[in-house]
Amino acid sequence: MLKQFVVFPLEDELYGVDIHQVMRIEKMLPLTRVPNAPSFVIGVCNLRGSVIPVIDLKQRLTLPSNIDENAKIIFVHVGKQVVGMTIDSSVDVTSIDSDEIEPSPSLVTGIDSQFIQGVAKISNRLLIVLDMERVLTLDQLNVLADLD
Amino acid sequence: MTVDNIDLNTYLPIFIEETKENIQQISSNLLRLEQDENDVEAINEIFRAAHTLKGMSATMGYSDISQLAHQAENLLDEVRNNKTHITSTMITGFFHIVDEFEAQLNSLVETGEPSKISQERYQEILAFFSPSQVVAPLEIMEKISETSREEATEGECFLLEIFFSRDCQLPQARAMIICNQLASVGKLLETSPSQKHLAERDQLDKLTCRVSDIRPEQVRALLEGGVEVDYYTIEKYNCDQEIAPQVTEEEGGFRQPQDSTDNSDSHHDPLVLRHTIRVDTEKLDQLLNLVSELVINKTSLLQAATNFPLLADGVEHLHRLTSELQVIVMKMRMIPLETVFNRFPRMVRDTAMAVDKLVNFEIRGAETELDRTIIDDISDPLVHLLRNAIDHGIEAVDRRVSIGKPRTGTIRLEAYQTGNQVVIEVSDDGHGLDIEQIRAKSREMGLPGVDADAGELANLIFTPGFSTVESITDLSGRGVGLDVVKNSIEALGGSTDVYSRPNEGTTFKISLPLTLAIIQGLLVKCSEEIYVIPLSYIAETGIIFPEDIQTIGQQEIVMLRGKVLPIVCLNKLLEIEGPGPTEELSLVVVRYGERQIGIIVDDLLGQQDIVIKNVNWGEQFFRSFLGCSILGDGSVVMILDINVLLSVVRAREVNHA
Amino acid sequence: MGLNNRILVVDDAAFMRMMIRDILTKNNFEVVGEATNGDEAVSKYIELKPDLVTLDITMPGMDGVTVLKKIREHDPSARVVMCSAMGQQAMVVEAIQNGARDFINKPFHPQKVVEILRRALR
Repeated sequence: MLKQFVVFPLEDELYGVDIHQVMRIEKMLPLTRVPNAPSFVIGVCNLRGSVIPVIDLKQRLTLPSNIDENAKIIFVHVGKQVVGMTIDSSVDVTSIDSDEIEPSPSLVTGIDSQFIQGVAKISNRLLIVLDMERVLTLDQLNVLADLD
Repeated sequence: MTVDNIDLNTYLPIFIEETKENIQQISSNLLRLEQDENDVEAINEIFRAAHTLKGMSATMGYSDISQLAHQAENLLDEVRNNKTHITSTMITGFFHIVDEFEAQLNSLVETGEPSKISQERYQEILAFFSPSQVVAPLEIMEKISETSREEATEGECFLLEIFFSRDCQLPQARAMIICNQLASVGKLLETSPSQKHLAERDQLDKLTCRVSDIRPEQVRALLEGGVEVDYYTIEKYNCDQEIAPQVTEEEGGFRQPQDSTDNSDSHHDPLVLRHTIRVDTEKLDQLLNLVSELVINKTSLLQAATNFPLLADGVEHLHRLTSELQVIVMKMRMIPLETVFNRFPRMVRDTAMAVDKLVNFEIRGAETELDRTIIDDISDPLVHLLRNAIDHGIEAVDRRVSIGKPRTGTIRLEAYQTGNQVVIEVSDDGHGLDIEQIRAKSREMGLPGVDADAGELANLIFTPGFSTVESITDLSGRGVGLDVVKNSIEALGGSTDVYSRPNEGTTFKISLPLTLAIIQGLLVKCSEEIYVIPLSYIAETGIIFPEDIQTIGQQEIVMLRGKVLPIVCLNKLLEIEGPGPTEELSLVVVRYGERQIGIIVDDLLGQQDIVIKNVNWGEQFFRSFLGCSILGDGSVVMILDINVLLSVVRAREVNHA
Repeated sequence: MGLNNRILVVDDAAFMRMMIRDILTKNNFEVVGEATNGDEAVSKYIELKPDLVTLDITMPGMDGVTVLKKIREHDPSARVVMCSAMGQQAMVVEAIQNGARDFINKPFHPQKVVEILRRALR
């Protein structure tokens, strides 16, 4: 079965998110800081009248973080939840046969394997398909530090 | 499912709603009946509700519910006709019936179908009533047949035999109507059974009449096309002849309600009810969202219009209209607390019985209204407080007697509105909180307490893990403490408080905002960031200077009119970057329960309507805040949660102590 | 259907009113009003002068038979069809003795309801 993915580069790798989970992609929006939240929660934004949290995807994936003026926000939804994730500039859409997505060899990538749904090859590059549920699930480690 | 060409699913929501109301009716009147077994009005109310339930459920084809309702109705009819008297066993039996109705309804809500009532359960319920009170599922036929003779008159005479169809309902009444109609057209000479006895018949499948002064086609017009009449015969008759006595009953006992399963689907026109309409709550939410958007846009227009005097009038008018619209939408969402309070009398009764205490339960102000989003979540905390009151508040009967209190304790649930808040109080006349025990416990837990006053100490019972009652009973306790109550209330933007006097009782006070959606807020500025403080918490605002701030232990304070006011500096607390305290600081004094604290900010920007928006992901990151809001310029601001600020102050006090 | 098809529906349960209204409007009757209790029924009858009233037997306050008597006191030619449920034989009989044209029994079967009302309106 052919599936479509929104594909974007982060650092040296290509990442993909199932297109059905992507709500929209926007240029960087004004963010309001959320005090006392962990650093990967970089703020909240106003997306057409709704307040949506925005996370730094690179930080979340434990990659070095640097958000510049070319950054975009990709809004994804998992269930009823909507979250914005910052990504570097360019974005593409690719179709991949779901048979070609293989379980991730945990050693291949620089990011935590729990976030990876699988990997696929497109034009001789490795595409890392992200498991959005996992990326957006907040485990106990991420509970915010208490005030004060 | 359909009955003839009516799609019954259309009626399901309203059926469910009205069934709930009727069950509630039965339940609350049973409680009245329990107080006074001769409360005729209560009996009548229960009877009526059971009756309505029976009719509605039979229409929907839910035969188990209608049978049970039928049973209840009959039992009550016995009571109404003084054939039997209400006993406490019967009341318990009726409560079982209510439970069963509720179970059926729940199943209906969850699965779309009521569950089957097992024969065992049915018998179990009926066991509460003496066998003579229990009726057969539906009326049993009787063997009655009578003939009577009336004066024959002149003219052409016909003998008419009318056979009622098997699914004719109340054929005896149908027969009476036919008699009336025949009599209105011609002369009705004689009937069998006689008209007098028709009324007393329980069952009938044939009516025989002698009529005169009527034409056969008139008879036909009356009877043909009638679904209730299977067939009829009409023949000329010798007017002098009598009708032979007849026996009309069938073999076998029960007559079943008919079950039509004609599945012809057809669409019907939407309904319009005149005075009230029922609106999907989702639509109300959408409306509120739209109004919220309008409020935000109005605010930005108001700001923009300050530069354009020509716009001022129009914008001012828009402002007024928006406010009115907002009020109306809010009102549409308001529901009386009654809907929650109604189920408490039963719960209190059962709980009190379980712990063998005598409790008189009073409800006041049930008509007070709250936003439905709040109503939905208020029930559990109140159940907790009520159970606490019965379990820990009210003393055992012996104890009450020995200290000269009335045997029966009183628990009062009272709601009232003050300003834009609704207060709900749960009070008991029990032994009150043991302040010394609380003091000891708080010392043990390392909470401040030694020097706190009784009011402060009492409020410590809301601390997680705080319980002074050693024996955990079945009812409350179980490790779920008052902190859960407090958290639930605070999640609703409300606050909790407790007042207690030894041997006089305890009052829990819950204050809730009238609505969750739009509040009045004060915009404050710290460096370049803007935050909102809900106006309802603000006691006063003022100006202070950096040198006014003193430190006691870790706690910064200012002296306000000779009193120590603990303060929090928003800059420090929220790690706001930028220049530190300037020459002049703004002080916002907020009140939370009994306590006041000061919030230090750089500047006050003014008050406005704040539409509360919640984020639906990562709630734990937003716990320091009541929610977010969008300002007129589209920017997002965070709304401060006063309770969180207070907990910061408390934590510092603990460290200090 | 002719012109005499203006119906006043009296029932305390919105469910039942909705159901009756639905059946009637689909079959070219005109529901000119609804009443939820006896007092309202009597005043609406006077105000609307319907061709026929469907009247629930069991209602809070004034019961159906009392309402029937009041309506017929006001208009002896009033056409009233009682709505009853199983086990209300005595009330139905009393209503018929007091001039009710007919009765319809819950559960309602649209075809029967329509037929009975048509017959009662003749």
